[in-house]
Amino acid sequence: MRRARVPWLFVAPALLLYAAFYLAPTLLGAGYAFTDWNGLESPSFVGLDNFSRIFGEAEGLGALRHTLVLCVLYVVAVNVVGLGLAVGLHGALKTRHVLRALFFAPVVVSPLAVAYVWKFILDPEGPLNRGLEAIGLGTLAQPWLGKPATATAAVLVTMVWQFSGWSMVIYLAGLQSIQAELYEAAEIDGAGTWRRFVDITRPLLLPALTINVSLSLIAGLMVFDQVIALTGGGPGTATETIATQVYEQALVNGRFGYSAAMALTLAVAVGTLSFVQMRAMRRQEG
Amino acid sequence: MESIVLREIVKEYTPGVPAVDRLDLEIESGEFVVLVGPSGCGKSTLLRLIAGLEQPTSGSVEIAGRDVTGISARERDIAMVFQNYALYPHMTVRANMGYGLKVRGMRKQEVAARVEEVARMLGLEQLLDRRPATLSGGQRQRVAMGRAIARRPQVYLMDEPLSNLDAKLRVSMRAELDRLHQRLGVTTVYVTHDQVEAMTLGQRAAVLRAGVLQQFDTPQTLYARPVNAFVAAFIGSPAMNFAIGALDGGELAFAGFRVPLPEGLRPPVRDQERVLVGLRPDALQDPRFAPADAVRVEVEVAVREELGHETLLFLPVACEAGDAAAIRAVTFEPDQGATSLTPDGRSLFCARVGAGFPAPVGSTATLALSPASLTYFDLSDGSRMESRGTTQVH
Repeated sequence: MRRARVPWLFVAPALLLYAAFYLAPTLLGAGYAFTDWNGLESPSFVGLDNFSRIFGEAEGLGALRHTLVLCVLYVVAVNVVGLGLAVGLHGALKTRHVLRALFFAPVVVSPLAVAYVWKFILDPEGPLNRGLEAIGLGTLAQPWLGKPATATAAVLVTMVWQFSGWSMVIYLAGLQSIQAELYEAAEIDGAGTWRRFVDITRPLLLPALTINVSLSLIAGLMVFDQVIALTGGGPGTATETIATQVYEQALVNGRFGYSAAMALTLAVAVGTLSFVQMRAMRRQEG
Repeated sequence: MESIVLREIVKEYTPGVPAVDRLDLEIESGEFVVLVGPSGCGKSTLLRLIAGLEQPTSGSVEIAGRDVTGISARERDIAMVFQNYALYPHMTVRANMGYGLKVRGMRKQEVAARVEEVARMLGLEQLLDRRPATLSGGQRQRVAMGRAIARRPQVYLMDEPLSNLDAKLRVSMRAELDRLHQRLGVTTVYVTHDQVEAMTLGQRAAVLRAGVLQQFDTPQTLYARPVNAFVAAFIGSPAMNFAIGALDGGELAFAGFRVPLPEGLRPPVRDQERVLVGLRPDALQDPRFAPADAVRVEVEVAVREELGHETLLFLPVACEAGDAAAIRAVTFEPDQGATSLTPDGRSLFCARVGAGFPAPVGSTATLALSPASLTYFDLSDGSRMESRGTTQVH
């Protein structure tokens, strides 16, 4: 009996900290989602009112739509770029080690810092427009962050630029775990380069794809820093996402209950989508 | 007709350092040829050159009369069994065996029929819907064989396919490989570092060292008439015993023995000139079964290994300082090879005698040594020397 208690003594400090600073606020936050708390007065229970407002108000629905669009585009783009980089840098290229480090480098920088760098690049007077003018393409110069379509694209490019190195590393690990002899066996069996990619690389990379899609799905749904730093949700509300709305509704508009409901919706969406996606892809892996 | 012809093949991974050096080989159609040699001798490289997985630095490869140098592996009509089997882990046994046929555009029904036929031949019918991860090593090996057989190629290439199996399974798979070859009659090139596999499987075996072909002949010839001390030391288990000796009058003095030699059995060297003497473990015999001309020698028994049907005796014999190194210089044995030394500087000879031979450890035993069983090698380059009375055979 006493022996069984000993391990609990070791994990108790960590458990207490976890409970006090993570579990309790999360549960309390989830509780506030069902109240009209404004941060000052005592909250009163409002049932599912906050949730029906999310799906009823233009702000909430817009944020939801932007988040989903950005998330889908991000998942596709970061995986295509990451896989491309991994395949390219898996081969016998002499500079592959240096290039791998270079492409991975943005991952270790704070997303806010990266977003501010891109904000500078995309400024109407910034290097991108100046560069376009310098090479005679001045007509393409525009206020990149001032138009809804280009502002969304800017958020997307910033995210993909920063995290495709992360995706690349996971795909590289996947590629390196595939025995070279399998390709040789397939070549002897008569398979050409494309056929080998389809029949050997693709199925054996599925575990890496599952992890990458999960991670990018979560990152895409929770996008916050890049939007806040690049566009602040604008122009207008064109790039507002659920995460930026959670922040704004609570700390700008004082609607803590509504903000908590949004956060809870986001958490449930992230959990559900990740679970469904993992289940579906694991089944494919066989 | 030749099925595979290699002409002046050179393969250099690092310029100036040949992994295979000016190698010529002609393999007959339907022949089972074994490429054998120690690790790093270039045998796997040679197999990959035939497969088209590597291209030679110079020289040419012909398969079935067609020059395939520079042609990719997929266009060579060969099938290969890899050391680690290289089965596609995400495919069933059926899909693994049928993949090559599917890729080559064979109709589904034909692929299924061919796979079923080969599965029956190899006893794999019950495993067809399983994946490689659920199979034992022996089963995977059979699937790898099945994949190669299903293709019905011009040539089978096998890269140490039995090395991952346990000793018992290896013996049974060896017999099965032999049976399959007899049934299919397809030219097979088989790489191994195990000289027992080379001796038992190959109709002919090519012995390689440092990328250079040493001898290409039948296993019996390799054993009985090795071209040099390296082949003599490599082929045969336990390995040949070596000692440096010299003619002294009509006697050969080596390893502390003095063996009177009739004129026709003497090595072609002058009196007192040093010569490398080789004798197989079965050349040191139980005197009761020895030929009439055999000479009796007294030896100390240091170690006795009972193998059931026979006994190996390890016998320390005289070895002059520097002799072991001189022997290794021409046999290319590792330090732990046949000429390993005892703590007191003597070398260990091995004798193969009958199971009940009365020679306990520590005793002095009398063994018989037939002068006709001695082989001589030139100490300068290791090449075998014919006895004076022997007709030169090529």
